[in-house]
Amino acid sequence: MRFLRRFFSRLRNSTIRRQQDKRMQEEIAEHLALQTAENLRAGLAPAEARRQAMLKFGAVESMKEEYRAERGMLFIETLVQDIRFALRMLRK
Amino acid sequence: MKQKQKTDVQQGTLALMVLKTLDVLGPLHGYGIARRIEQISRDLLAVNQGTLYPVLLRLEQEGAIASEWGPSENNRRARFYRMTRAGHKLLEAEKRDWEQTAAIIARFLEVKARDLA
Repeated sequence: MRFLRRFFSRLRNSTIRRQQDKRMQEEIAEHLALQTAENLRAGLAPAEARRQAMLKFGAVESMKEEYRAERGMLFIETLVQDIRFALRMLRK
Repeated sequence: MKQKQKTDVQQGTLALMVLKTLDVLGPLHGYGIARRIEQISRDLLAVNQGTLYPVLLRLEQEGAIASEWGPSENNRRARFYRMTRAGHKLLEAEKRDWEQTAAIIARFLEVKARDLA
């Protein structure tokens, strides 16, 4: 019985965490869009406006997007995610 | 260990600035808060605005601020934050703490050797 309670509690927590992550991601995306728009108004070219916005936001986001821009790496990243997901499902 | 403490101090200071900004200007979204803090701190927080969002989440979990979706300037949606009553109380308490700390440090900085003889 306790095992079941703990399971649902963990499920609820992980669901809440996922929702929070999703919300934060959307907020961050909008923040970057607003900063990019500001940079465009200041006269920067679109690509530079976006780059400056991400630099200003912090190293993590710049790095993540530069990383994702590499198509080859993107394929591997997706593959790794799929494998990890499959392993998690198997463990359950 | 030292590195972790430094981050904690900065987060605490940032939380205080968020509360004061919302207190003075009313509801704002994350970008708006970041810009105002930038202005007030004279660009001390021009970089790493990314640290703002975990702070906002934590303040909301603590009940100091509340949030809801609203339209952004881009005609998309943004999360707008506002103070709660608990947030006002927290801001007052933090303000007193800082003033007290500043007063104590000021006394120490003014002390001369003969005062302690």
